[in-house]
Amino acid sequence: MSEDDYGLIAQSLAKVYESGETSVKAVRDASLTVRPGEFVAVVGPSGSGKTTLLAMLGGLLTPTSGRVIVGGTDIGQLNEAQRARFRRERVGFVFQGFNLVPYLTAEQNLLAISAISGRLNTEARRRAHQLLQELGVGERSRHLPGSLSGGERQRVAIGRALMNDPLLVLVDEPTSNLDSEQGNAVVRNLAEEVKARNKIGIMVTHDRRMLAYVDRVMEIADGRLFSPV
Amino acid sequence: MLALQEIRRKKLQFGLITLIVGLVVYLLVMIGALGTGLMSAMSGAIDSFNADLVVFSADSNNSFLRSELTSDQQSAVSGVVGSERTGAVGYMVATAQRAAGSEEVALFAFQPGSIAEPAVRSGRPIEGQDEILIDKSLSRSSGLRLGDVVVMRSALKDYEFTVVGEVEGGQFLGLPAAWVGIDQWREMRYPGQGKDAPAASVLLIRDGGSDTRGRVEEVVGNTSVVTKSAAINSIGGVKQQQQVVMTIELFGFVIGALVVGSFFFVLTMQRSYEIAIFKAMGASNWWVFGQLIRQVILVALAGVVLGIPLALLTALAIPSDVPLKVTAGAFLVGGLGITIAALLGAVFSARQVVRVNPVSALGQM
Repeated sequence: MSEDDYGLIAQSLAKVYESGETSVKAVRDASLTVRPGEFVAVVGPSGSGKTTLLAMLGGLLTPTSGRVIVGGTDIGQLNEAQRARFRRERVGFVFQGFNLVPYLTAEQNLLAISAISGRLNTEARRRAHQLLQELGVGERSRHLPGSLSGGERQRVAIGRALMNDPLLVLVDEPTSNLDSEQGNAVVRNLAEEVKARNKIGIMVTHDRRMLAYVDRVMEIADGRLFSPV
Repeated sequence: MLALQEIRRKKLQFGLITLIVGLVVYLLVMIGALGTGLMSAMSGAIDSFNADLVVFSADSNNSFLRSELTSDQQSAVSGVVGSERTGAVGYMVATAQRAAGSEEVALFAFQPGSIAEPAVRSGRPIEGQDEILIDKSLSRSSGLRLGDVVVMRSALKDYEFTVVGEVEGGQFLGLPAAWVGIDQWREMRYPGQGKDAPAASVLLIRDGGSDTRGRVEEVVGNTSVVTKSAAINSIGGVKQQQQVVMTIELFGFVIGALVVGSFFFVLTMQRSYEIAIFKAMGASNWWVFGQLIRQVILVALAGVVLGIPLALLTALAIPSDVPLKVTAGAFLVGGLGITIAALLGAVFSARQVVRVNPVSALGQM
């Protein structure tokens, strides 16, 4: 059993935002364990703390208290540069609205991930090509995001999240601005990729229509994470 | 890859900034060329002296016109540095008379065979009293050619000379220069004084020794010995002229830095969300800033490539009486200077890059 097989373990995570006299508890005592190959949805309304939770799980925010361990690495122990490296090597993000870089072609959006790590080589090009093929957008690899359909952009964004072969795939509101048919398609797609590639998949969303394809649903409200009854 | 791709997709923005940088480079090269041209018009004849030191008379305030040295002083200088390392130079303003009209000329004199003899580009050195070497600028302005006879008027007396050779790079105080033998000059400058006339205006010394200056001043009384560049700087107006040119150049660099700096500052602000995404995906500040620096260097280089041919074309098109001298130095200063200025300008954006919080790549926090 490798360290990756422990998956993601979040223990008693809390985040308090201080501003002057007042403090806001965005996340309180959140614990969560996700195995590789499992796709978990965290559902909650806006302001429930789900994005804060996602940011802490992905090493973008330091928790006020609690721990996040990903593949055996306690990311609370890492300094800023090490956390950036952790994100480069271990995390794939699917951002809200997919947010591809508009002046890069589909393929170059994937290769940007390799460029960040200084590994823009033939191997990277081969991998980008293969991912786009597997996601069914191989034909569109030389197109700019502006000339891709919504569905194609989603698949390119998924490809970008998988480009660095991460352990952890974090998905931020994938269905915003999509109709339910498109939304279903992208969540199904994500679920398939997480399973097939044995990734730890975590998606935050406010959209309850999209939960048919996930393995497990967690609710978040007022910063508290719980399993629905 | 990314830096270049962005430029390719934002052709208009980057095209405009490159055009502006190109025009600034153009301006800087032209100012530099004008500075060199003015310098050459003011002091080119002095600069072309094959000398390290110039000896003036002590009370002359280092003026070529007022300095007068005696033959005793000349012999004393020869005694210190050796006669093969020194040469007498005479100077006066004369009027060249031509059928077409008259023209003021900076008339220099030298002892043939001494270090003061100018290098002849075409024709031959002077051999007789009635022969003259003229500067290229004089042949341009007066139409004088080799073999022509020119009348030089001084103190109401006319002297006839035959042009035997042409020299290059010599103007003094904006006047075209000409060179004659020193004995002829003594007669023209000090008519009727015979042996009592001063031997020279100044003496040149070709000697790099660090203590030569002090030794000459100590042994030869009543002299002021300065380096050639100090002699040039003491020409009225030269220093001020160069300071004006340098100040304008400095403004050019500052403008370049500000223009490039604000362009990239705005660009960085515009793409702060994009930068947040890159940082969320693990890009370091250095990596993001590195992309920006690449773009800055590309813009600066493209600006140089655009500005330099413009400057060359202008130099060709401009009438030859404008003191404009386009040199490799002007290109180097303009090109290198604008690149450095652009990089300095880009530093303002570094702070902007650092301030982007990768968390903002995720939904509404």
